[in-house]
Amino acid sequence: MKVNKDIWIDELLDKYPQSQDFLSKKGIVCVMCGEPVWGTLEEQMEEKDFSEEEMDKTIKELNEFLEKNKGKKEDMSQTIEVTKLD
Amino acid sequence: MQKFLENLGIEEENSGAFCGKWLETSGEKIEVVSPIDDSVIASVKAASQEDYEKVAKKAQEDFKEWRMIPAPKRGEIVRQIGLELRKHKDDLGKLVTLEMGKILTEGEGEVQEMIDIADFAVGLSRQLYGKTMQSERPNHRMYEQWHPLGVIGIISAFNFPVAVWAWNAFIAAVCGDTMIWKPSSTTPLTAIAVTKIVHKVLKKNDMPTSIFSMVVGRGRTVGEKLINDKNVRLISATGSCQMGKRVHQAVAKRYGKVILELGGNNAIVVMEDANLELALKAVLFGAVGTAGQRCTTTRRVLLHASIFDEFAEKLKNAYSTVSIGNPLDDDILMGPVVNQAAVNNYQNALEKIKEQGGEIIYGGNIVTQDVPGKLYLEPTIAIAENDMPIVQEETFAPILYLIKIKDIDQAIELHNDVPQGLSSAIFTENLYYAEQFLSHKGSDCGIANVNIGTSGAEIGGAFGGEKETGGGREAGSDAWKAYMRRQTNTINWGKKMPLAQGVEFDI
Repeated sequence: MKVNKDIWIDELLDKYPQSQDFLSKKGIVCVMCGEPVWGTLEEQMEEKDFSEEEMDKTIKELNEFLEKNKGKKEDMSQTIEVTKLD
Repeated sequence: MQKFLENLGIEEENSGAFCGKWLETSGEKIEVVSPIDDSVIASVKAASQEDYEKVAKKAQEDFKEWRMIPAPKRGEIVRQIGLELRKHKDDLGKLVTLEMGKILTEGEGEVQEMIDIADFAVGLSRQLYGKTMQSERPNHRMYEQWHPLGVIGIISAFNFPVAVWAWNAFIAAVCGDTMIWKPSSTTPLTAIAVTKIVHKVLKKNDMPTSIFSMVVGRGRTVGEKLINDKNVRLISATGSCQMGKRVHQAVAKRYGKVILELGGNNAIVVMEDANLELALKAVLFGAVGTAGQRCTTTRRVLLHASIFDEFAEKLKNAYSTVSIGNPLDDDILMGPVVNQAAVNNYQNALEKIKEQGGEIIYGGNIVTQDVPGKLYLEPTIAIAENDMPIVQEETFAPILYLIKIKDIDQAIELHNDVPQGLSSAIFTENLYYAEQFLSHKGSDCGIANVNIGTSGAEIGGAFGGEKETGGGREAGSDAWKAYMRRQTNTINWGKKMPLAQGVEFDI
């Protein structure tokens, strides 16, 4: 799995910019006022009242989407290291 | 490098942290791309968390010096900054346009707004009034005074990359605060240019050099450091509701203060008796100006049923005359949106409008002909219902919803039935309607206008809104009080020690 729910939104978009459009279709707005929103993907899903099940499903679909689009210009296909602040 | 960028001191690669000197920053490299044509303007080496620490330490040190300089002398520094901004107005306005895509007249207008607030702050520096109260105790004097607060953080958004900083910074400066600015990482070059202009004035006057410091970086890195820094007494944040909520929670945990100026879902009510020509101009500028990316952008028009069709038709005609293209060109009214994500948000919003039963009656496409880039959108009009989920959201794009209303009561009800509460307007010739709209049963926004649109506020008034807009106020009126700490003082000049409320406690 490339992406998990602990990833920060700006890190996600840096590495997989195409995630923005995918998540926007799911009702998760990743870019507001021109900038990636602050916080993790999990926090954004919580904001939209996603259940645990919906979160897991969204993460799974996102990873499938990224896998399917592997090699496209925007996809850097790197393994994401989750960065947490102190 | 273009000449005007050189004039502003912009280099091919720029440091993203300033604390009296430009630091050798160790954060990520940000390539700043113009939304006009996707060209790289320059790059910025962002600040790391360690760089932030250096900046914060120096701002704290300089506060101790700056607070001791009399407020009118601080005002004199801001006056000189205003003069320097006048000299750089054309270049800076052009950079605003190049970096975020608003048309040149708006870019220059933004710099003018900086100059205006500088002038306002100069006058304010001889005021900052505290009240004198009548004490209930004999031979006592009671009054309040306002002291500098400390180091403050300013978080600004891409859409007003310099004016919003100036609203905060010049007021905070005359109040005796030092500050750390985190500009949008989409528009760091304007911030760097402004910091250089300001620094020149400070240096010339032998002032503490870190009064106006700056860190460029993402929310995850320097943003989080700033909002969680217990030495930063106030965070003034402009941006999305989501960001504001995060800021509010973080700052509340450490008992800091916030000024939040967040999203809007601004509406213009057009009643049956309105001057439709005036209303048309206001709606057009409000909805299309800055490509629909102002926090005060008109997003909804609540139209009286008797004029709905006529106004919608006039509006479509007006929209068809809007010239879209390179915002640096004189005859253009609408430039690009800021980035591809904004285009995606626009397209997804259009899908949702259709799914939720709305009807797009004008626009709805990406413009590809006769434009220099990929981020140009048709301004769009949709007929919608106020309770559609997409209408309840702020989509930062030129999409306008027309909503039918039957009378003033319904207009006010629908007007207020959104989560945000920034700006509002009514167009009417009827005193009864106008007063009702402005009354306590009327608009619930921080800004409410009659026969003027929702955007383009002047600096003299306090700017901000209610509900999810965050409740903060910036710029004019008495917004300065948020940048100071109030102290109530009571002095006994008698020989006895009477207690308040008649309490007896003799020994």
